Amino acid sequence: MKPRAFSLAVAALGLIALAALCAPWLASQDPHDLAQLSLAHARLAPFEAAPDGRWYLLGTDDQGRDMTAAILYGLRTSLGVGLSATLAALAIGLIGGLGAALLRGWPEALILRLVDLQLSFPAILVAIVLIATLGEGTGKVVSAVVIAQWAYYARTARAVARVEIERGYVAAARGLALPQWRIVLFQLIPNCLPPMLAVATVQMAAAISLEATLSFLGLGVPLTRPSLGLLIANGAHYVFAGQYWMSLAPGVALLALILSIQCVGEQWVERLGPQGQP
Amino acid sequence: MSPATPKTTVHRPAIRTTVSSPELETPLGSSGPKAPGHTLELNTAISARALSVRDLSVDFTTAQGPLRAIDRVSFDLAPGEVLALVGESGSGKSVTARALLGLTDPVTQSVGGAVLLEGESLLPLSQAAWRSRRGRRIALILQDPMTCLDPLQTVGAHMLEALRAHRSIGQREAHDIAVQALERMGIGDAPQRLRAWPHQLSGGLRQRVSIAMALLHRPAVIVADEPTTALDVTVQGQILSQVQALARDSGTAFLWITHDLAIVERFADRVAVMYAGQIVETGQTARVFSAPRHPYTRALLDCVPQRYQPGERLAVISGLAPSLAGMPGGCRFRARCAQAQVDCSHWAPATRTDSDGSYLCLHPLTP
Amino acid sequence: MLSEAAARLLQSLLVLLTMSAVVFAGVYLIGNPLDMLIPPQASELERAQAGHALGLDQSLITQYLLFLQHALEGNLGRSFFSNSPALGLILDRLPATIELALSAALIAVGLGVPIGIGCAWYAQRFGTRVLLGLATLGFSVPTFWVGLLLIMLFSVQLQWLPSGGRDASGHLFGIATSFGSWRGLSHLLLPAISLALFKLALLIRLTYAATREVLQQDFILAARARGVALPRLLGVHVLRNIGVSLTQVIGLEFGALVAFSIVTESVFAWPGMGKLLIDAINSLDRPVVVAYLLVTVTLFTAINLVVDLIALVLDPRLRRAGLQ
Repeated sequence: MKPRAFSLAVAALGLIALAALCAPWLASQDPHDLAQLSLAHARLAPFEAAPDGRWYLLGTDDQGRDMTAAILYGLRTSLGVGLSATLAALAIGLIGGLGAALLRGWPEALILRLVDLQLSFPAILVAIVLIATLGEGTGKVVSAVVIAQWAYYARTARAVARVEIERGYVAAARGLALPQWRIVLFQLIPNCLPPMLAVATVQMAAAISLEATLSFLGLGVPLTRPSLGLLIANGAHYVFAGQYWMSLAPGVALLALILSIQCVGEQWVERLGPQGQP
Repeated sequence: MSPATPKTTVHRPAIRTTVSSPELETPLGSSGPKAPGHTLELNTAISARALSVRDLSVDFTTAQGPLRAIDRVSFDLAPGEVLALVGESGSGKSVTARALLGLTDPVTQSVGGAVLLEGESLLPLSQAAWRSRRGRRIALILQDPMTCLDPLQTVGAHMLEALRAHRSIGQREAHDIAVQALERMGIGDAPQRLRAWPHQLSGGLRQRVSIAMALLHRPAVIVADEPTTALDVTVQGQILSQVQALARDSGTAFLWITHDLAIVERFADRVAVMYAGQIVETGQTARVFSAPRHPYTRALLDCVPQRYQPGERLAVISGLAPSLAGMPGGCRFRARCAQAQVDCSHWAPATRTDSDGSYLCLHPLTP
Repeated sequence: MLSEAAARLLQSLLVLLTMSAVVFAGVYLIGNPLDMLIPPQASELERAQAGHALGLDQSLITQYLLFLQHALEGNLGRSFFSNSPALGLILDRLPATIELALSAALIAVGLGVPIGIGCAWYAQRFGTRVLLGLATLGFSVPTFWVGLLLIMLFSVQLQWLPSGGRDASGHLFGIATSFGSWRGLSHLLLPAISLALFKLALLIRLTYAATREVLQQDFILAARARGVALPRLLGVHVLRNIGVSLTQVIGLEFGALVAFSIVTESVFAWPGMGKLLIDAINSLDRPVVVAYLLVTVTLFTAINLVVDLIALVLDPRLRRAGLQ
C-alpha cells in the first residue's frame, strides 16, 4: 500500500516539476509579456470562444492571459521561491544546529532558546511581520520564509548531530586526531542530511503554501511575476460574478503541488523513523 | 450472578460431590509428590471445570496470508487449580492469554476452536456479552506493574471503575470493598493508598493492586501473564503465597503463564509446556519435573540452574524456535531435538492423552 | 502545585519581557523610530517634539524603559490615519478575531479529536484510511483557497450563506456577538469552517497518532480485561492520556488560529484585527502594526501559560508535591 502511494506522489511531483521547467515550450504565450495579451480575450470561461474563434483550455484572466500559461509560469515562481527558501533555511538551520551540538554550553542554550521562541510563534505571523518591516519583493519573501522556518532545521540538525556525536565513530575519529572540520564534513553532515532533507521536503510544502498566502494577501512576489497565490488573488475578485475559473484552476495546481511534496516528505520522514521527526 | 462465598473450598459444591479428585483436597502448591493416576482429565465432569479450552487456534492475517500463531491448544482448569503455562518467549503464551479473554484484534487475528468458561462457550459471544464476562468471571493480570495502571488515575479510581464495570454501586460501598480488597492483598494503610497515584507506588505494590482488582469480582478464572517476572525475588515470594491462599479461599482457578520453572515447581498443580504455538506436554507438576516425556520439557528443565551441582556445566537448548512464517512440517521441535529420528520430519505428532497427562511427540522419553 | 504555577507565571513574564525587547529592537534599532511612529506628513518641529517624547535623545536603556512604560500604560502611539490610539483600534477589533478563532477551534477540536480517536480504534478499516487520506488533503490545502471555494459554492452558486462581513447585532449573555443571532451565525459559519479546516486535519492526524500510541499501552489492555466498556475506555483512559500533549498542541494552535485569521479575515472581509493589520501594512500605518504585535505576543504568552497550567492539573506526575 505505502510504497504505491509514495511512488504515485513522486511521479506526480516529477510531472509538475517537469511542466514548470518546460513552461516556455508548453505555454501558448509568455503571460508576463503584456504585448502578447489582448483585452478582447479577457475573462473567457474554459472552452469559451473569443471573437476571433480562439478558445482556452482553462479560460483567461481579466487581462486576456491564457490561464494555462499563467499557471505553468506561476508554478515556476512558486517552486523557485519554495526551493530557494528551503535550501537557505536548511543551510542556516544546519549550521545553527551543528554549532549548538558541537559547541555545547551557552551557545547551545542560546540557540535552543531562540528555536523555542521562534517555534512558539506561527510561521505566517513571523513572515507577515517581517514583510511589514522589510518591505515587499521576491527576495524579501524568500528571507521571510527562511526566518520563519530555519528553527525546524536547527532543531533536527542538533538532535541528529547529538546522537551521532554520542555514537562511537565520532569519538573514534577524535581518537585518530582528525581535525574538527573533517569530522564535521565527513561524519556529521552526511549523517544529518537524510533526516534533514526529509524534513526539508515537508517544510518546502509549507514554504510554498506560505509564499502563496503572502502573495494572496498582496505581501508577496511583485505583480509582474505572478505566483500561483497572486493568480488566485486576482481571480478572487471575479468569484462573486460566478467567474470561478480564474481562482479555481491555479488553486488546484497549487494544491497538487503542495500535496505531492507533502506526501513525498511524510513517507520519507516515516521511513527514517523517529530520529527523522522534526 | 454471585460467585462462591470465600470459605468454600471449591467453586460449585453441588457438582463437587460428583468429583473425586484427591488433588483438590491437597493444599495448592504443595510441592510434595502427588499420587499419579488421578488426573483431572479423567475424573472431572465438563461442567465442574472452571475453564475448558479445546483446539484453540489463533491465525494472524498478514499480507502473505494467514499465519498460525496458536495451533489447536487444549487444556482444562478445575476450580481452585493452578495450571502453569511455560515456554520460551514467542511460543504463543501471551497470545493464548489474550485469546481466552477475547482481546485479540478482530481485524488482524482470527480465533478458532472453543473456550468454555464455567461450561459457557465464549467465542460465539457478542462483544457486549463478552465484555460483561471479562473482569467478572475471567480476569487478567499483566506482567509489567509499571505500565498496567493508568498513570492519570488514582488507585481508587481504578478500583471504582473495576467495580462499576459490572455492578452499580455507590461511592461509599465501593470504597469499603476496595479497602477490603487491598487489605486482603496485604496492603497496609489501604484508605491512604486509594488516593495515591500509580507513580507513587512501588512495583510490588502496583502488582498487588492489579491482583486485588483481578480478584474483586471473585472470578472463576484468573489468567496471569508472567505477573511476578518484573518483581524482585522476595516480593515475588510474598505475592505468590498470598495469591495461593486467596485462590484456595475463593476457589478461583489460575492459568499462570511464566518461564520461571522454579516458581512452577513450588506453586503449580499442573504444567502445560508450550512450544511454537502448540502444547507439547501436560501433566501433574511433580510428574513433569521428575519424569518429563517430551524432549523439549527435558531440555527446559536442564536449563534451570538450581537443578545443578556447583561447578557442573549448564545445558542450553541449541538453535532458535521456528518463526511463524517458516514453520517446519513434521515435528516442530525436531531441528533442536537430540532424540529426533527420520520419521520426525515426515509425521506431525498427534497429542496422546493418558492418565499421566498428554504429550505431543513421536518418541517420548518415558512412554 | 502552587509553586509550580508561580514558576510558570514567572516564565511567562520573562518571555513577555524578551518579546518586548525584540519588538523594541525591531522598531528602534532596525528602523528609524521617527519614521515608524510619526506620521510622514508631520512637520520638522512636530518630529523633534515627538522624538523628545519618545526619548530618542537619551540612552538606549532609558529609551527601552520609556517604551516599556508607554506599553504598560497602553500608549502605543496613534494611527497615522485615524489619529486614534493604535491600541484602542486593535482592542476594538479583538472580539471579532477571538470569536472567529474560538469558533474555528471548537469545530477543529470537537470534530478532530473524536475522529482521530475513532480512526485509531478502528485502524486498518477502509473508512479510516479514507478519513486519514482526507486529513492529508486538508493538511495541504491552503487556507485562503478553501475560503474562496466555500464562497464559490455556498455564497455564489447555492446562495445559502453570506460571503463576508460580520453581524454582531445579537446579544448573548449581554455581549454583542455573532452567536447572538441566526444572521450572526450565518456570517460566522463559512469563515469559521475555512479557518478550522487546516487545524481539523492536523488534530485528526495528531489525535490518531497519539491514540495509537496510548492504545498499545498495557493499562489499556488491563482496563479492557477488567471489562471496562468502550465509551469509558476511549473517553476516560485514552482521552486523558492524550489530553496532556493535546492541550499543549491545541493551545499553540489556538495562537496559530489567531495568526491565520489574518488570512481568513481578508478573504471573508471579517472585521477583526487581522484585517486591520493587513490594511495597516498596506497603508504603512506602523503604530497599528506595532500595537498588533504587542497585543498578539501578550495573547500568545497568556495562552501558553494557560496551557501549562492545564497540563499541571491533568498530569499528576508533573506536580511535585503530592501524596506519599
